[in-house]
Amino acid sequence: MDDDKTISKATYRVTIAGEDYEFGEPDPELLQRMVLVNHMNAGLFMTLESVTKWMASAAGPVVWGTIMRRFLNGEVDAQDLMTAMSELVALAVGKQDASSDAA
Amino acid sequence: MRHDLSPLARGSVPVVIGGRTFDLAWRPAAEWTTVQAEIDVIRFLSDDDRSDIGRMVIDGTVGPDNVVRAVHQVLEIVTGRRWWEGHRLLLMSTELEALGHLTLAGVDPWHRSAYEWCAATYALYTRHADERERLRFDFQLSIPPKGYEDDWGVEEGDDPTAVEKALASWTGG
Repeated sequence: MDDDKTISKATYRVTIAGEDYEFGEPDPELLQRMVLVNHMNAGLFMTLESVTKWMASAAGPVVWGTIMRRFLNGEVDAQDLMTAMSELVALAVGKQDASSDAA
Repeated sequence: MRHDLSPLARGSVPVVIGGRTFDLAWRPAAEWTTVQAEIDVIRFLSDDDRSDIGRMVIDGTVGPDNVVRAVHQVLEIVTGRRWWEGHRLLLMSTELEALGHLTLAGVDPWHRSAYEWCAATYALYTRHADERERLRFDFQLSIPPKGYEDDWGVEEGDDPTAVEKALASWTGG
């Protein structure tokens, strides 16, 4: 029930391999960690791990479970997740920038 | 491992993150000039070390702040200046005219350390400056980047009188 409540607050719609998904407000602390791991070239699997950890927290277990099932079925690949991550970062950071400008 | 951190040393530099010390092998100034964002320094570490640090970051053992702080310490060691000053000098050294002068002077960035290269760049920018111009240059160089204002004034040489004098010079007083 709490999970549904979290998902209902989703503010970002991101398309992954042809399907739209709702993401909640991404965790800024996890975002910082993910950006750092991405930037430091820590290796593909580690980068993917940090991306999925961050996206999973923003998606919530139900949505993330759906995405992962598609991943395991080969309908979504690593590049799709990286693209979605970029889109989600752009949306989230864009919103933060807009909030800062308005303040 | 004991590290020789003297200005002309050619040894490795310690990178301390999460209680662990990683060894960053000596690199010539030419490579340090590729550091656009401070965190690029981490890319100089080996694949294994980057992987270990990435694991600590993902697991939450260390935060991004810890890594950034370690990178700043490295920049201070290799350039012999506050990290933002050293970083600025590295970036300034590759501007067309400055690089031209340094090249004509025979300062080879593939053989010189970042410390020597920054010293040469600083000398280039101040060699014909009078006292006022030099003060102004030093002042501009010393202003910390946004978010690091608190770091200003804690080091030696940032006494209020000097800053006041610099400000007066800056505003033409």
